[in-house]
Amino acid sequence: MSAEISTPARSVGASGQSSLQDFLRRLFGSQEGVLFLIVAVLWLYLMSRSDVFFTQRNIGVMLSQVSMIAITGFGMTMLMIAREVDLSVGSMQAFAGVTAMQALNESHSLIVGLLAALAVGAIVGAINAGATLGLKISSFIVTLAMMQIVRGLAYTSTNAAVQNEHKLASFKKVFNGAFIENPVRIPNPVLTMVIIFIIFGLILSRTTFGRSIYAIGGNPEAAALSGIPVNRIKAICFIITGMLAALSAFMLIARMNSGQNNAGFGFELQVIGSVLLGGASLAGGKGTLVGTLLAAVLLGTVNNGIVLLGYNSNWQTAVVGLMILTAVFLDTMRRRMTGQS
Amino acid sequence: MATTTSAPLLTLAGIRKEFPGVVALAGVNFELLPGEVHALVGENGAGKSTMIKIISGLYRPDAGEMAVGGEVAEFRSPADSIARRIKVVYQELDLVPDMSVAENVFLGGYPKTPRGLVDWAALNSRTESLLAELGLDIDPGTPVGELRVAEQQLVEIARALSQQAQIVIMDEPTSALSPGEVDRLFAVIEQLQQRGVGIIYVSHKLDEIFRIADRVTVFRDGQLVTTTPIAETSIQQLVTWMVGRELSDLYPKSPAVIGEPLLRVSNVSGPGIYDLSLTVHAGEVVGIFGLMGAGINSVGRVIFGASPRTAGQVTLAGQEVGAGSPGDAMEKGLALLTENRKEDGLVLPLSVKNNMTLASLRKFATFGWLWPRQEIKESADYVNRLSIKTPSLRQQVRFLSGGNQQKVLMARWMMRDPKVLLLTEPTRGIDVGSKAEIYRLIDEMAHRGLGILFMSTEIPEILGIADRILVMREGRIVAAFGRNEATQERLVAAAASDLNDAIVEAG
Ligand SMILES: Nc1ncnc2c1ncn2[C@@H]1O[C@H](COP(=O)(O)OP(=O)(O)OP(=O)(O)O)[C@@H](O)[C@H]1O
Ligand SMILES: [Mg+2]
Repeated sequence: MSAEISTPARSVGASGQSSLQDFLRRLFGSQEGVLFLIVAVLWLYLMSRSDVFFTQRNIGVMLSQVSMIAITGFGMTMLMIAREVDLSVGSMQAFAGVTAMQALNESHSLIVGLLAALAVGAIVGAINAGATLGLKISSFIVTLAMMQIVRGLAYTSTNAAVQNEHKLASFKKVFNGAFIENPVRIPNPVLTMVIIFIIFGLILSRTTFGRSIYAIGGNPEAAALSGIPVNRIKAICFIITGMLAALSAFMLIARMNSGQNNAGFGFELQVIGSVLLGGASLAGGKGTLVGTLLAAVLLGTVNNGIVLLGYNSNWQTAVVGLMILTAVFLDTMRRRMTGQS
Repeated sequence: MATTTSAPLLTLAGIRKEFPGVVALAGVNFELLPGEVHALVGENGAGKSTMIKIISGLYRPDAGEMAVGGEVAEFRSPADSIARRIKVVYQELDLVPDMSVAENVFLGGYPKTPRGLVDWAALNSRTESLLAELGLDIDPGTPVGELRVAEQQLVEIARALSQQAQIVIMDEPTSALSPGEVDRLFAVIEQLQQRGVGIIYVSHKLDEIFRIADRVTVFRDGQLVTTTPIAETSIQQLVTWMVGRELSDLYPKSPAVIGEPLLRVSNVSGPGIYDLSLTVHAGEVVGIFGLMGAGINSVGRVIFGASPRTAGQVTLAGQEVGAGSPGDAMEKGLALLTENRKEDGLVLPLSVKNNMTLASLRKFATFGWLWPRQEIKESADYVNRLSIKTPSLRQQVRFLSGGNQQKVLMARWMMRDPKVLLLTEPTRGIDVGSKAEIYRLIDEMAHRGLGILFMSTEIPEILGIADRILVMREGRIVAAFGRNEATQERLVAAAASDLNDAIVEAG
């Protein structure tokens, strides 16, 4: 009766199989793969429907807009993998931008302006971390409050907008989204996004810090018992998110040529929507920068398509909501399929 | 006893289930008769839980047929199986902790008054009579969250009765029960049997199976090896079927070479333990035996700093270990395997490899930069050494069987090369073959000069591997025995007797 019993999956080699079939299954089985396909199909469609879409100028402008969502999204991805969130990144677009423009006007120095923005981001991030971790309040509540506080600070620092009074030539060049004479002829915001993507992508996948973030989100008690400094790592994630949001703000004032106190309304939802659609989960423990990037590109493409094909541009607001719903729906379906509760 | 003439309650024919890279069940035929207790045994990952999940409608089989009471059954969800009067008592109980016992027992089907409101009086009285039938005196109004695990389990069974279940399935029901509670559970099982309920009983505790089962089915690697009446087999025979070879020595124990004192615990108190003092020497395996609830689970946590230490001192190799700081404890050379693998051990969404290396990340990194090749090499090494069943190192640990998950956690702490290893119930839910493997590893580590503090509620393994045995009762050490003086009777007496008697005995 017990003869001829095979032993499946007895031992394990260093890596799995890598046949083409396996590769295809992984591509379509992953959120990133599906997003990539959707973006590709959408691009082909828009190319067929509009002559303007696939011009260097249009793609450049579109990706420059995407870059702000994506750059903030990279920080938000880390934060959400660690089971936290930051709703104050939208107000940050206003406050860090206004502050940076004021600093630029005072100092006539690009570096000082940029540092002012980053400092605002770091401080707000640190306050978010302190209140969340120190007082043990959910980051959703803390950053919801911060979202209002930071917006209020932006309103009180200027009546409507801080204009560019410094007229620095370098300022216009650095982040304004035009095609700059860099060797690759990619708009600087996009180049910045790519560099930040690579840096933080490597941090997430190849460092103890990144691994710890995933562990904390997956099971904070287990991470703590494995000697991981949970609060320190979460705090760093909050600060990074604040600073990346401030960098986005700086890119925004470069594009607008002024710091506006009503900038970034709804920006936090665009960012969080991209992160969720990119494969992260509100339950933490998962998500990738590739996913976030692809989801941000998808959002940018849809918005761009709405304009190019002549639809009412107010649809852009609804798209974000649709995106969040889709993301949550996909997450739930996947959990059902893999038999998790 | 089962009457062999009656028609089967449940029939599985050629049931097959595959997961990516794993054949969990390779065409299984199985039959459950009314009034029989049918035990399922097999190594970790053999497919027992998968079969149960198919019967309960959680998974759908890739091939094969299932029939309940002679009618073909195709379950799309657990609701379908409940409708066919099948009740599964999972190890992770799915009761609602804030609701009362009565509300849980009748969850989803409350008795109603003529006006359509919940009939609370009927609810409570019917629950009371159900509980009485099972010989339990639990107040139906108690919130379930306040009950002990054993009682919660019995509430689950009462719920099975309220749903008039014909088939009751229990997946490792006794892994968190004390001997007295096991007796009570078995009495309840016998009652169910007399009502003609068929019971499928999964366990790694083979002695229990000989007490309770009528027939036993053995799985190995997704195949059904054999089904046989329990009277016609023996533990030895079952083990051979499960493992596929003869298992010679369950407790390999080489003579201990006791060295310097490594871990010194002096007058330590914390949640659940009082005034604990003990010493573990290099090369020594110290066992702490206690019944369920005696506090042995807190020992490791307080020493390691996972729970607060309110008094006392811990030193490791002469260096003081800070209270409440797992990081510091690890730094000094301590490692802790907790009894609770789902809650504070496994990181479910991470891969097997990343779970294993989680506590040793620094070892694989320079200035925080990880070197994946070394990580993979060492993880693969442990997968082979502990014969962990997984299709790849990248597999999410959530998809491993319970026993294999436990081995992943063992690997996590062994990888750190600690000086002293604190193990709390390390073999809970682990099959015999792997148990022997873990005992061998413990012996080998002790031989290399590690100190091992081993907390367990199971006497045979404590007797089998410990050089010195402490007995804990109500959070205090009440007796100590050398390897040669300890016997099953003396340990039980010390663990259960009055505090005073036990101290006299220990003195
Ligand atoms: N959802 C899943 N996805 C992928 N693989 C799975 C899944 N569930 C189970 N497996 C695999 O199927 C095999 C059988 O697992 P199962 O849980 O049935 O084992 P078991 O006999 O209950 O073991 P244990 O005694 O350790 O609980 C294992 O190799 C396991 O890794
Ligand atoms: Mg199982």
